[in-house]
Amino acid sequence: MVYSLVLQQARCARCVLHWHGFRDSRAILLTAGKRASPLSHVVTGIHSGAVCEQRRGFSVDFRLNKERSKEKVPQVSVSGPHASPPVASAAQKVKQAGKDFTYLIVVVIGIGVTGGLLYVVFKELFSSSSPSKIYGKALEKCRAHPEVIGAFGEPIKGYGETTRRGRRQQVSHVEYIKDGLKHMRLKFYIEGSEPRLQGTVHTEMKENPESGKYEFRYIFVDIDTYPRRTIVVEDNR
Amino acid sequence: MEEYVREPCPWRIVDDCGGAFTMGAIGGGVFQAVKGFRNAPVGVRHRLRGSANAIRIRAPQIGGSFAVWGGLFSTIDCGLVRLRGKEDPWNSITSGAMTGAVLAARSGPLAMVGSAMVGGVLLALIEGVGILLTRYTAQQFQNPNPLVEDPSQLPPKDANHSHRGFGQYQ
Repeated sequence: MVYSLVLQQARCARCVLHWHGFRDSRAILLTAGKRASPLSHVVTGIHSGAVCEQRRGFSVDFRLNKERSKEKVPQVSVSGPHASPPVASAAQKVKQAGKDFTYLIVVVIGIGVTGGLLYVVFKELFSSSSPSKIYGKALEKCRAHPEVIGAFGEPIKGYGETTRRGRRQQVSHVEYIKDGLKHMRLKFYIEGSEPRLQGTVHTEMKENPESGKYEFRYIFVDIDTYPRRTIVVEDNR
Repeated sequence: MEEYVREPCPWRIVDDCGGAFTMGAIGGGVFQAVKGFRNAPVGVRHRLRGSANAIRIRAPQIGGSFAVWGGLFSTIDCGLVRLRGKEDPWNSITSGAMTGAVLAARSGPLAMVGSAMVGGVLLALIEGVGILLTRYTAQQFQNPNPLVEDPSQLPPKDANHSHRGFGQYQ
């Protein structure tokens, strides 16, 4: 790590040297003379040993360049707040305020988008009426059902629709409202230890008018391969 | 649908690894191109050369670290699928967190926790995008109205007959 750091600094330092060769080499020498001693302490404090001794000059230059550029940028835009604090003209104030405002908007939008996404995820994961929660419950019921176990073999696994990237964790679902009650239909797939046997689980939930919770109306499993049949896991119609 | 009869899981690791490498190399290449351009000495030739240099040196590194991330993530994801026998968003969030933890393992437990949280939140965000996308596309593709009415004819018994039983056969 230290190695790569030193390398990088050395690379940058080379650029810096070029640059100073073109521009104001006197100025950098002056500043270097002024600041060399504390910086070299810092540098030796950071690195240690012979590597540091060799590379010290590079590191110093690099840092100086950084500092200078940092100093230079605000001088251009804010026109030296250290020298004369109260004399920021109205135009500059407006400019600065506009800049701040733009950044604020960007930050607020970012936070809003992140919050919205997190809200969607948490709703999906924790609310009891979300498709993935219902899918989990229905899968548990299928796993506990003796006939499903008998047909598919013991470790039963469930998955949803396959996306292009080989993810199968989204189950397909339809929500609709009938007689003023919310219904949700859900479809997912199960596989057991039996080879080449795939089943499709269809389930429908209905909202209970008193408690507002979802309850299963039916769960049944279609076996998709040749001896086709249907196993009804639960039917509360 | 037809081409997905095969299990995606063990193959997905290679797939994700390569995808992550490509993504990292291209994205990192663009980033490093700009960075190299700006850091180079004045002059178009110097700047272009600096940009090319930065890409040459850094882009494969970035791609490589992305590939490590993707491969480990996918491996853990597949392991979780195998263990839990279920595929849902929890898998990818957990494996994102675990990948972050594992890759920070050399810098101590505190860094592991932090990096695990970053990984988990990141994957949760990606998962959220995925959920929103599927919801949006699902709304576009299937119109729910025609299949609302009949309570699908596959379980051959009708409502209101009130004999509920297990083990229907045909």
